[in-house]
Amino acid sequence: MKTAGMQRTDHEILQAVRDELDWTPDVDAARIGVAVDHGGVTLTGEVPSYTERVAATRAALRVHGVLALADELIVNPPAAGILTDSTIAQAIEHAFEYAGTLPSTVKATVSHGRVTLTGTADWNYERAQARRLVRGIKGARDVLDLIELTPRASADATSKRIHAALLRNAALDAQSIHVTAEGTRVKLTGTVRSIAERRQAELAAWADPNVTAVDNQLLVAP
Amino acid sequence: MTPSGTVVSDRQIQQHVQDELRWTPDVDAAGIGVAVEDGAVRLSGRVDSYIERVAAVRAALRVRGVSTLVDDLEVRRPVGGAVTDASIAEAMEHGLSWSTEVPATVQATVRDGVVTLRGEVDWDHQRAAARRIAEHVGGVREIRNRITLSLRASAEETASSVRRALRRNALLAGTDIHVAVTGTRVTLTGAVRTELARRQAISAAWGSPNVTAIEDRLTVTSDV
Repeated sequence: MKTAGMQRTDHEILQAVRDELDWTPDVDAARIGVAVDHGGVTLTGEVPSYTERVAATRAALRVHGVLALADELIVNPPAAGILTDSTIAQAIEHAFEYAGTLPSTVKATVSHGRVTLTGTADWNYERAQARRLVRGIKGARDVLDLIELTPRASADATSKRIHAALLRNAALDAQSIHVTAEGTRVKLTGTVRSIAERRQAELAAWADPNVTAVDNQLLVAP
Repeated sequence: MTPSGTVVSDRQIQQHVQDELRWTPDVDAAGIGVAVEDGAVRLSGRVDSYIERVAAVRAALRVRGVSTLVDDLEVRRPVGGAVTDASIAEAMEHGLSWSTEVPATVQATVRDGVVTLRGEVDWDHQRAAARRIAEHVGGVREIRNRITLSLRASAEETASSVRRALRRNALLAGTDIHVAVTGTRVTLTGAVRTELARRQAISAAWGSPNVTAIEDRLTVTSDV
């Protein structure tokens, strides 16, 4: 069975994304518009929560043949679910405290339900954790992550170490991924088979202790 | 460097898992023991938080050649008296009540750092969301997810609709998964390339409105 490598038409991708949104229990597909152009998917419409927006984008991204995604979904909570900004901010502050693992400089400010994260983190995973904690909070419409990374020294063998991490990863074909490092900035080029693989490669690069920026230019070639 | 398709020795897998744990910034690899037998990895030792435990298991599972994993990790009891069962219960209450994903039917009880989740929900992803909330609370040492799914009717087309969902998935392209359905119980059999692909197959099956149980007989192998 060799479907991989076969080019899918935009029409087939459109149908598959619609089916996947329909199939995804935490998404109300009727509210979401889907357009496809050369494998690039655009989602439009209004959803009632930020978690549903994330669920919808993930559903589209896992469909075979999807190469890129433009997320134009708007979160519009039902009138009964609208909370004041200060209530939401307080809930986020508590969630951070209870987790106990985030740097104390990381703060959330809320304006019209839109959450902005600021502060300084030692690692990219801490930023990801902060975003994850905010995402599921009632009333949050959007999350803007402006958390900065503490400066780091550059190192000699950065690209070699990242390449070794790519080789260890079962999901990746490291031969088709090229890593270049300039100081603490890393660029990934080449091809991967899916958007999930693209993300795995980027996370591997972020794990390096001498990296402050990852420019992910990997192309998806299913 | 081992090209995919060839067999990796247990010794190499052990080395790669240790390297990956060291490489993973949210894991303190020094406290973690790694043993490998026929591609099955056993992690033992102590970590500082439940979220670190989750990160360690994920790190090991993404390494090429790892087929299964036994998680014998323990989460250390927090030192000092700041974290108590009462404070964990308070954090769970806060997390559950503020969640957009978890219905109000879900309750958490805490004893000796062990969180037990109970209640009935309509979908598996709601159970998973409740578990994720517990994973992020400091002081949690163990999570018991006893949340049940509400009853569902069986349907003729369950097997074919699950198969279509598997076929749509980019990570499962070219893999051959057998889907068998008895009533509302689905059995998935076959080989997938990665742990990530295995998880996607299972969550694809949970998307069906006519499934209440999934038997996972999938194997992870780089030979697919």
